[in-house]
Amino acid sequence: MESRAMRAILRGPAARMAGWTAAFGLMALPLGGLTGASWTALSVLLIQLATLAIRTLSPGGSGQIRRLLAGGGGLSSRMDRLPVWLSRSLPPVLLVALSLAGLAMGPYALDVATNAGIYVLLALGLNVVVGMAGLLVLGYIAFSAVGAYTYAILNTQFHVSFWVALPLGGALAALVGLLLGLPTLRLRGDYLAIVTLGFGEITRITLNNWNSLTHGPNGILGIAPPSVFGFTFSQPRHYFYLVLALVALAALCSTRLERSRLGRAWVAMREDETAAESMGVPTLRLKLLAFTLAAFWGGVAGVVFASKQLFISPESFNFLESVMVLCMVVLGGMGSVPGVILGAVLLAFLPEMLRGVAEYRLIVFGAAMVLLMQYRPQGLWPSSRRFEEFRKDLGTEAEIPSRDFGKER
Amino acid sequence: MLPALSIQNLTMRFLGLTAVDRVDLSLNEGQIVSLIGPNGAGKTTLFNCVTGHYAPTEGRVSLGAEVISGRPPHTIARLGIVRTFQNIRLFGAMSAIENVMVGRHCRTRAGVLATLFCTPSVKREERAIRERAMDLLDLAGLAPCRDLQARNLPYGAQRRLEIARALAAEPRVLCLDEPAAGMNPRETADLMALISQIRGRGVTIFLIEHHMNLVMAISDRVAVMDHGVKIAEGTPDQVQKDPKVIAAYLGDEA
Repeated sequence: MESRAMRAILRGPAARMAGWTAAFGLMALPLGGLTGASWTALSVLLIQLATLAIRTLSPGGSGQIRRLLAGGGGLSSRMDRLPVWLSRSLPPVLLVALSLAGLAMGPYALDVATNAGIYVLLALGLNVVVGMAGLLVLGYIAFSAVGAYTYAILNTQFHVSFWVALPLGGALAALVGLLLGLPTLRLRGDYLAIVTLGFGEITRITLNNWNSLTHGPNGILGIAPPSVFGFTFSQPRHYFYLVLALVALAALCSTRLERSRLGRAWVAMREDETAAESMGVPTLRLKLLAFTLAAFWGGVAGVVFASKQLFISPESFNFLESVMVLCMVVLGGMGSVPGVILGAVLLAFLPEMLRGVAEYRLIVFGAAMVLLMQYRPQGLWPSSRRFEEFRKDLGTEAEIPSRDFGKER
Repeated sequence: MLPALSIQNLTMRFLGLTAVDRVDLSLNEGQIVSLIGPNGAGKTTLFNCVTGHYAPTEGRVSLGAEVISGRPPHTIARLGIVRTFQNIRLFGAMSAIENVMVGRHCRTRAGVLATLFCTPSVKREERAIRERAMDLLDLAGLAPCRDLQARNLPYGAQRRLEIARALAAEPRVLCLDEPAAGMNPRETADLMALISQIRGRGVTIFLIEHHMNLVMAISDRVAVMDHGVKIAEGTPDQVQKDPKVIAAYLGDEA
């Protein structure tokens, strides 16, 4: 159910051009003001018109483009088919390479990379619930706010150390997720999205108004950086390694879950909830589990964020952030760990790379998203299963799969 | 001896419509019991009550000594009643073997923490799941298709895969909702052999089917429903001669 609703949203047929235009315009509103919003809306509209033109003018042409981007010879399917030795050795090699790169990078690059890393953490967390369990959650950043404020308050008022607050912030966010999930996870599809969107806003507004605890819009100042045995984190490099370690841990956890009986049950639930339930899969409990785990990583990312910024305010946890993280998951490929990491890194770096054309970067961003949704709805580096799900939607299911499905699981 | 499954005075009403009306039925351990009747007689509704998709308005369903009516489907599956669907409901994007592996969910226990730490017991369990699934694919004659996506399998194979998936949950009672629907004679014969084999493993089988040759050939008992009421029950021979059954199928004037 959820994934069907989501696919309907994501595929965005040309008939819904107006919807897309308005949506992207609104999304850009908080970032770029009225001018930015109208520019984004205009660019989105132009791209859709161009797409429509291509489709109508060349009936076969559009199909070719689609096949090129989405199917057989595409970049991603080749990455999907990485030999086992390579896919096994890629993560550790990447980890070592990044660790070494951390020594060479300057403070600015390290800072950008650390921010990207925090987004990767968030995206990996959200991926558990959106990608694996197939539930659309829109207010995800609120869990991060719970983690960040947990550390900020405990640290400034009770001098609780970062290392205690890290699991505690995660646990508290997980608890909030559990409490929110208990009544709401009985909802299906769009309703859940709406409720979680409301939750995100409620959290932000509460933080903004609970002056005695959170200092409202002024935020919390003077948060202590993490320290180990007297060594205090003070340079971007220290944070870089902290975040790198956490990302590695989150990726490992995600991969293990994905390949377990729980991961399988999530996919089954996403495919057909009724059938999964009949096979003895307790769907409500599994949804709660996904929700709680996602909230945990959100909380952890929040603690790290607070410890790096040393100052937090409700502004950092607005709806746009939730949308960004969701975009990262969708862009990279829902349910695919490498894909989600790629998506998060790309979207986190994009604003930095587009700094030169800062005024237009929302246009470029909007354009990229629309193009992607039109031509590659399964994401840049999809999990092999999602790839198949979307391939069916693209109307090429007649092809007999020649891939060795057995190697991954 | 206690029947494997007993349905007592079961009634299911949807607003004004009584889909199932005070039905009593018992299935003895290891029997194949078929439920037949014209379309709309309430057969699938009865199935849905037994497997927990509906909570019956009145009456109860017991598995052995335990009352199960009103409990959620996943609990009932764990207790030992597993079903297939009239319109096939496989996990289409998963491979054949993964479909069967999902069926093992309620018989395995690896939790989150154990999974995250990848403990030896988790690895052992995972291996056992895979082996068991492979055996069941073998039984259903699907071993060569193990890595094909469920939705790409031929129709008959999809039906058999659904049965293999259900068997993975180790049911005491297996409910098959029109497993032969849309099958050609060859596929039907294969299916019949498969059902007999499953019974040979000691599983009680509750079968809804329109295919009379199949029903009469393999059933120990046959129950007939019409307009929500059970109108006859007995051995295949008895039922075939029952005037009420003939009337239900051919019309009253016959």
